[in-house]
Amino acid sequence: MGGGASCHGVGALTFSAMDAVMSLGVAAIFGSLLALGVAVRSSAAAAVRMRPSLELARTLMFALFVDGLVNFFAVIVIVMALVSPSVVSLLLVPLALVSLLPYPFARIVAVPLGQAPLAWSLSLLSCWRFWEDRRGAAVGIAAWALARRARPDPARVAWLEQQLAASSAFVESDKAPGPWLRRLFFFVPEVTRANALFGGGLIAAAAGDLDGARAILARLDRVPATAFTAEARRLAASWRIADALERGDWSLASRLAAETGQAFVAVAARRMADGPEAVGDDALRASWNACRDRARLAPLLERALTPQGLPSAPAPPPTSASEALRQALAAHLTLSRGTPSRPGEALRRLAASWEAVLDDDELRRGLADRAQSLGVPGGVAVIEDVGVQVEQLLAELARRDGVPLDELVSGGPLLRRVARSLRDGLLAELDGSVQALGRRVEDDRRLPGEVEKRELDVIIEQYRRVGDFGGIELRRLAFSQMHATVCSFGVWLWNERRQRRVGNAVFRFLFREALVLEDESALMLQAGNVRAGAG
Amino acid sequence: MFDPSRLVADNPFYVLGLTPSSDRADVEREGKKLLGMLELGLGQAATYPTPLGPQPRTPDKVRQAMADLRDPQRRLLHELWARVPAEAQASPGPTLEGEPPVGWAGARRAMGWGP
Repeated sequence: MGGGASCHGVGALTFSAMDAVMSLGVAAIFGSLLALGVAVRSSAAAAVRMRPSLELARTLMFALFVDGLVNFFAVIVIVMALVSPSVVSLLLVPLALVSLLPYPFARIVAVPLGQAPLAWSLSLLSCWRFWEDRRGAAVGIAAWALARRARPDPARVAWLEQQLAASSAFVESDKAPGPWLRRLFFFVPEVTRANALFGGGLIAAAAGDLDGARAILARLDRVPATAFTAEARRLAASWRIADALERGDWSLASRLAAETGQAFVAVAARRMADGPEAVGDDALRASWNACRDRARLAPLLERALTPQGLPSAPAPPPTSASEALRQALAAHLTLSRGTPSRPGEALRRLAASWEAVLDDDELRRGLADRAQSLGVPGGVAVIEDVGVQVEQLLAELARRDGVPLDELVSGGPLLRRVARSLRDGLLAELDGSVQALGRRVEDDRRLPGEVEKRELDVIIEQYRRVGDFGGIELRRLAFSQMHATVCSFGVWLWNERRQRRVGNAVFRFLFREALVLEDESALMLQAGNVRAGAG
Repeated sequence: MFDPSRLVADNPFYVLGLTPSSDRADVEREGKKLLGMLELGLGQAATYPTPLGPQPRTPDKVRQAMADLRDPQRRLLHELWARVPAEAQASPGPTLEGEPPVGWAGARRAMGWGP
């Protein structure tokens, strides 16, 4: 019996030992393949820096040989863990799952935790999902993780911009893979810029430049579906929908949600845009009941069901010119006390009141009479002086409340003059700083590194004010005027001063703006500068 | 440099506590009285009411106000801006206060795109 028991015991021990040996063997092969993958990728990266046309070959090699083999052994590990579990095989299962499903782990774990480097690495492993441009897509997923952080992280944003500049989308097209690569790998997809735009848009969002993010991601509407990874397209649309909902652009939110199958969001946004006549309460509730994320979208349902407020009744029309002037003055003083919820609309109404006053014949006659009694020659000219002062007061309110240019120009002639003076003032301020910088570079007048950085920050802040006021069009004008000088500043810092940190900051700023503004020549130039700065 | 925010707050009629219908004699009399009170440090002269709330009164402001109202052209301009009584409260004019916000605040966070 003891012998029988010994035989069984020996057999069991032998089986466990073989099991452990196999597990260790698989672990060793698995680990070796991972190490091989890292080595292949690193050497390919070095080759790509010398010859950018190998970027696509790097992806193909990694995907077909290394990633394929790693996934094969990951399946082996999981099967072994299920058939004959051991400590080693069970420990390897999470690693195997991550290598088989890197993108779900990125979305479920790395992004909600705000772990940008982890999200980037896992997305980079997703060869098959982001085939066309892994790096561009990985940048987008990492930027998404950054956006989830409570506080902005400028260092991580800078790192992501460097990764984006190294994307194959910004390599010169005449360096595309040659015919031998196409014969070797019979399926060679076109490298498009779609994933890189997706990444660039989300970087802008993570850096707080929502206008820039909007401009970049809106360009994806022009990209054919076949040239764009489905997941990146879906995520870009999701960001645009969330942004449109936050801004109250209900028409855009409704269109994008309908295109991406978000039925309730589309219905709710249409309700907000067109009112209860277009979408009734019952239809709205039914759509919400049918959606999967009811808890998350409940506030949108509540918002859509809330009756929209009616504009407050206008004041009774003035009975005289003096009363009109008193009303305009009083309204102006009220607005001076604080920012209303819709400053653009409030400013347009105020400007309309002032225009009515300044054009009033009765007021002009009254002023003429009063001027005569005071002995003022040409006294009606004082109404022109009042007009100038009113413009300056309205400009001050517009500046205080951040009313953008497109809201001012939709007002009357008075607000359009205000818009012009604000626009000219902001551009002149930026131009002055840029010209002074250019002269200093020409004269080779050097400042300490931290002071150079502050000078750059001032220019960026002035440029940002131009963009905040004037939108993408004014930003494009300002960029075209300052690009050459600021780029020269960056080159001077990098080549002659060895102030590479500040020089890199210059190039990253210009690269980001060129991407937002679709300035192709500046984009390729600055992508190369950013790559050189990272090397 | 012209500071538009001071156009109402430093209006000479408010500084001197007068109305636009006051004549030159009223201006001189009131100005001298206020300068005397300020020199003596009397508290009731230290501030003056405006539609933007009470503002500090200084001897320089009083002298500037008197000079402005002696010039007919400048007086004409200041008369226009002083048509709102100094003690006026919030305007009865049209406002947009109380209207619901434009968008869905927190949409980005709710849909996974914000912190």
